[in-house]
Amino acid sequence: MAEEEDAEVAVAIEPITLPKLGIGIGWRPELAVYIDRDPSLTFVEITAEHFPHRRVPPALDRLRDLGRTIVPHGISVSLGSAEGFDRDSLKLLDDLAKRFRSPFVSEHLAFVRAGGLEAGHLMPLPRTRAALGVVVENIRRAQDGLSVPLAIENISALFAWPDAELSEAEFLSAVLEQTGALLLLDTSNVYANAHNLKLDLRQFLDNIPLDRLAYVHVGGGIESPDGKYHDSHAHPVTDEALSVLEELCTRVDPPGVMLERDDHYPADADMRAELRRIADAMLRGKQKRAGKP
Amino acid sequence: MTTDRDILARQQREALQALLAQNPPPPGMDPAQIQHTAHVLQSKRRHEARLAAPLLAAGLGDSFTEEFDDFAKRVPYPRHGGPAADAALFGDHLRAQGLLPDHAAYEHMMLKARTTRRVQFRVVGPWAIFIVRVRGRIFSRRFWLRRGSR
Repeated sequence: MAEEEDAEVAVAIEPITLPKLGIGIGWRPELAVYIDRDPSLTFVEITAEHFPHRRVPPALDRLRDLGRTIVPHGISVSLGSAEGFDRDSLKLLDDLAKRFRSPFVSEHLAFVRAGGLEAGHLMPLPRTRAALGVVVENIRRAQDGLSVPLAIENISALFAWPDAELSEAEFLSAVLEQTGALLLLDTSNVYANAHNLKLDLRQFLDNIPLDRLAYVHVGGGIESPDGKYHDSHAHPVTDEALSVLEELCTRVDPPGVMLERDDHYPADADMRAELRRIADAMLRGKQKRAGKP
Repeated sequence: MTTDRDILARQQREALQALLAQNPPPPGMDPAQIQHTAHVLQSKRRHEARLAAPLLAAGLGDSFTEEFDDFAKRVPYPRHGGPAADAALFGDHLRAQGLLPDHAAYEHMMLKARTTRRVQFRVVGPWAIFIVRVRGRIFSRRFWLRRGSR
């Protein structure tokens, strides 16, 4: 009976061909010159909220004209809000996708506001069947307002809700299955949850629909004196976070992998080295998948 | 009848009230995790405001943290505009108390023009500053008001 009910709510997921994005980076004004000069970066992600008036720098139009893919990414749509998501933020995402002829847009499996309060950060959802129903309904409505597919990103949770009925993998998988959304997997967030909330990262990777994977975030972080890992995007990517990417690549060949860096921008040589470490981790995972030592 | 959406709305409201308005943690939540998260949110908000308004941060120097935390207790994070709008509100808060450094006035006006109010006009020292946002583009002019004292 339970299976029949699940079958009713699951949407018919049509096979889609996901574009091969390659290696990318989060576009920031401070990185614009570096990105221009590094042809190995074949895609960039832009944060939609940085362009609230839809006026974008000519550098981004130039990248698009050079054939580099631009993926708009949202941080304030609040797809998990019980009060409903922000339609203006969703429209901004869609307008940018149309402008850059993007293959998809992305947002988080999170809420950022409730009861008139703005968190200013991504908050986790209670992993209950009730919350699942609400977020699925929200995402379906959001998809109706988008002209391109939507990819959903896992977040790093700063706290855990009590009385979880589903594991993180089950919750994420159910959302993707019931909405047909794509997956944006943040491997640093997977590491953060494994470290801070004792998530079993291998079990997590084994139980999420990697066939829905659109692209991957890898962000730098740091462990604070209290032992918590912070996904700061202001420090180099840690070896531990890279090991999650490697682990992922033993299972699947990600269509795209990108570095997130938002502060304390490194010199060009250090940035190249950081991107090289990401590529090396991917290669190690790929070799393991192929059975090579 | 209480729906799933109502239940989730209450949970989310209570969580944010605990994190941002010093309410007690909702039943079943780990008070230490809530306290840690509240600290992270406050630090992030302050750090992002510092990045959005570097001249203001430099002008306040060591008192930035204390002044910002006092402001953040009274003024919630804005619904729209992100850190730039928040930094603009912080500037408003300081200006109302006569604490906004003159050299941060132009930056403050730019933040407001970008996020909340399209047209800005202010007299700062010997200057009259005019800023307007038109279709996402910012135009600004400064006029020297005092002859012979430049």
